[in-house]
Amino acid sequence: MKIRLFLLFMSVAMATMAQKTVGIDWSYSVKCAGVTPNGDYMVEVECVGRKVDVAMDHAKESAVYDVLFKGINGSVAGCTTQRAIVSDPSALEAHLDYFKKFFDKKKGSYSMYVLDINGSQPQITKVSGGYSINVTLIVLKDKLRMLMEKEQIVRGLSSGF
Amino acid sequence: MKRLTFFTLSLMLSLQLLNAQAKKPSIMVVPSDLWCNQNGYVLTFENYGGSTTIPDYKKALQTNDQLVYVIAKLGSLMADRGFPLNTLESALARIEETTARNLVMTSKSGASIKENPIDLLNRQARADILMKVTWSVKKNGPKNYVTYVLQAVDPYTGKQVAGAEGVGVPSMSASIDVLIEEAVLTNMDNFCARLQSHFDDLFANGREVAMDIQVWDDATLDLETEFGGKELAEIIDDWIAENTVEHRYSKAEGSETYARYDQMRIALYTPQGKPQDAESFVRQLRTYLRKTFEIECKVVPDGLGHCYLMIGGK
Repeated sequence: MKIRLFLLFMSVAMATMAQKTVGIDWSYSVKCAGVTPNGDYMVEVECVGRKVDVAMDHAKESAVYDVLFKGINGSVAGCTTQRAIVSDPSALEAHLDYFKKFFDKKKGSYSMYVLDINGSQPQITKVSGGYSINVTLIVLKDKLRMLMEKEQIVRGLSSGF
Repeated sequence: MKRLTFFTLSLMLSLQLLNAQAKKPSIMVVPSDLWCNQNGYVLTFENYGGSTTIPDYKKALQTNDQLVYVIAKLGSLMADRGFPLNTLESALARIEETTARNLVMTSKSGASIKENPIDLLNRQARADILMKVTWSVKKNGPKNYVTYVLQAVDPYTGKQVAGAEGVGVPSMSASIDVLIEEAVLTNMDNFCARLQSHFDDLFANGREVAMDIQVWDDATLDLETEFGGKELAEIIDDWIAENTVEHRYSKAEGSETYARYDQMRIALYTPQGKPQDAESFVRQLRTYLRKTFEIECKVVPDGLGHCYLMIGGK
């Protein structure tokens, strides 16, 4: 009986936790790699996946997620720390349904805001349980910010005037 | 029928007030005093035995293509964010045109335009927020790099409301223009994020304004004149405390002939729902003083965030 109660409690707790995230449950790192001539962010992403294409999707999702919610650390020489587009820490939870759809693996539109760099080949390493990749991507942060303003998740500079 | 018309008009007015927007601050990019000084774009003149140096914006705009490029780039980046800027070049051209026009314009009877010294003083390149930009190209061995500072300053309170600064990557191959462009692009998002925080604060806690109170030299009263046992300075102080957002204000200076209030947080809208700035706020104080104590005052506006109240006459 005690075991059943424990399992029930655990399943409820895990379901609640899952509801509060957008499903990024892999380890990754996103580093600044500069800016493009029109000001978009270049980022170097390292992450893992069962297959190479899965790892590549993970890298793109991680890059967009960090630009939106975490900002980009500028500790690399020549880089400036960039703030997150969504600066309100409670915005993810407040708009969870929207962000779940946005980051949906099949129908999500996050992939429209991240590009491969022409001619850049990802470094692929076989690791236990899958592949680790290191790839440089471009995040279209202006388009991303405009989308967030349109969805009224963040305020634009001219809002209210 | 009259009732219906009255009702419709009232409804339209109410809807209009509900949709009222706060007064939008004007923003202008200007080169900083430091940049003007370092690059020789200054005018020096004698002033009471000493020498005063002021920036020569016109010469800088006519001869420095990097400055024109930086101003244009910042302008287009701000326009992309829905906040077009006033340009320094057009502001200077408008001042020259207005001055020239006023000199030659006459009425049919031959009268020329009446201008007081305040009109002439106000005719300068002004904005509610000044974006002051500084950059300098430095060398590290064979490599060039750019240091860049962008500050948004509220000229009424003198406070820096946003800023971004950085040092670019040293490069041997990139041209100076490319390095400057990279510095502008890299620092723009952080600058806008800080400016956004300033606007968020303005919407949450009210607009921060300043007011100078002065007394005409022919006035029969001053700020120490008593009304019902209270000095005029105290009466004004009480009114400001009552009418600022959460009673936020500070009295920076005060004497019997002069007082300066700054850090006054005023609501973005008047009690009637109209957008409010320093002038409309001080007009309410003038009305209060006239109606309650029969004191005549003059309100002299000085932009969105600063105003003068002259005591003792118009």
